[in-house]
Amino acid sequence: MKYLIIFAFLVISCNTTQSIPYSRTGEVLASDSDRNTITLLSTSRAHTLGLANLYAERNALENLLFRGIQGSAFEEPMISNEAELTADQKTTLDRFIQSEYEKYLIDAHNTSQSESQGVHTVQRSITLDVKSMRKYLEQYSVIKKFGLQ
Amino acid sequence: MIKFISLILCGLIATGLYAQEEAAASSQPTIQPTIMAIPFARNEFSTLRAYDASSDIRIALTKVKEAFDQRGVNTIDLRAKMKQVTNSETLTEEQERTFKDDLIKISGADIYVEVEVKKERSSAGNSATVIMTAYDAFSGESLANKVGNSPKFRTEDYSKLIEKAVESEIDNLLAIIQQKFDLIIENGRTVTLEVGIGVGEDFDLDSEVDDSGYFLSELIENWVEENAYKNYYHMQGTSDTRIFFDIVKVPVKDNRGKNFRLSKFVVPMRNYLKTLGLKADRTIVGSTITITLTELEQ
Repeated sequence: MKYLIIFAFLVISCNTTQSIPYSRTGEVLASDSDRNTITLLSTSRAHTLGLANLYAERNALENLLFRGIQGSAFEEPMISNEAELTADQKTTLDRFIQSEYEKYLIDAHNTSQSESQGVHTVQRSITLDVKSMRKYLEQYSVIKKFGLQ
Repeated sequence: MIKFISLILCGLIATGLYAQEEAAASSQPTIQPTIMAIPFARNEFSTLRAYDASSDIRIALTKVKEAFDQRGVNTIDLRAKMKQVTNSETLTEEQERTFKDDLIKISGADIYVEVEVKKERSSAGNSATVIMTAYDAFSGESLANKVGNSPKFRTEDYSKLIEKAVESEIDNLLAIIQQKFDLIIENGRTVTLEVGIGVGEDFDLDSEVDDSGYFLSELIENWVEENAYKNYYHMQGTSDTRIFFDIVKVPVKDNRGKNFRLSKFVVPMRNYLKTLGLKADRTIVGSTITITLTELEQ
């Protein structure tokens, strides 16, 4: 009986999908960029497909904002020092990353998706209107306008 | 009671002044520099000749200017400024040699970007490479450089290839220039300072002009150290007739948020030298300050 309980516990533990929290990774590649837009390929993992899509978009945005995208017209990060952001700037930026960015999302679709042991892995193509996005962030003083300030 | 009211009034005035300063600081506008794109020219090849020689460079210059304009950066039209410099049909050898310096001076540009184009042909397709190097027009310091490459296409339309090459790196170039601006704001702008002795004077920089026991050159160096922005300076060399500072940092803005004029650095220096019994004639050209010392007439 004791062994049966232990076995049942192991089966239940194995089947229970652990929630995967968001973490910023470097799994973002430049696919295409022109004068005003950039298309990124972002890979992420989560315990639901919806969340994996959301994580991919967030990761793409955060890489563009804080790291820059190598091999693209936006190699330099828009925000060079994340730690220097003021509380107001952080609030605006959080709001932007949570939802406002959708206004600048031209296209988002999955180029591949798979599920294994309850973990959804997606590679998502995300096209952003960088020019308008930059204007929005400049307007709220999250990023600097070009010049001596 | 009167004391109490005075105290409150003082407090209110102080708060008001502080609030005004805060407001002034927060409402300081961005000083947007002006940029001019010019063709890269080798020493023996003047800027004007480089411009005339190739339609590719003219296309590249137009594309670079267009790209800056589209990003809301103030640009200066090269052709219009070149016309101002070339009053006559042909230039003398001397005019040709100094054409670039004259052009930059007359344009009033804060930054100039030298542009060079290379076309490449191959069996896999044609491509263009555009080299862009940005300089501070006042100090001549290099601010940023980028090499933009277009993808290979089976086309003879090089204007499109050049546009692709420019677009691939123009944002990165602007971003690096902005990083340099941020450093300039933090550490100050670089100027050079030369102090010399007038012809026929009875004293030199190794003279003791007061009771401190220091030579004149040492007094000048001490003053520069105390008054340079964040006390940062570098003395390149000194002799008994000349002292040269190749780096003296000055702030970008004054206390009121306006552009810091170099005269604001020179006037206190002149006043200090006056206390030592010396007259200081000064010349300011761009970021170069030259001071000539003579004995103050009694």
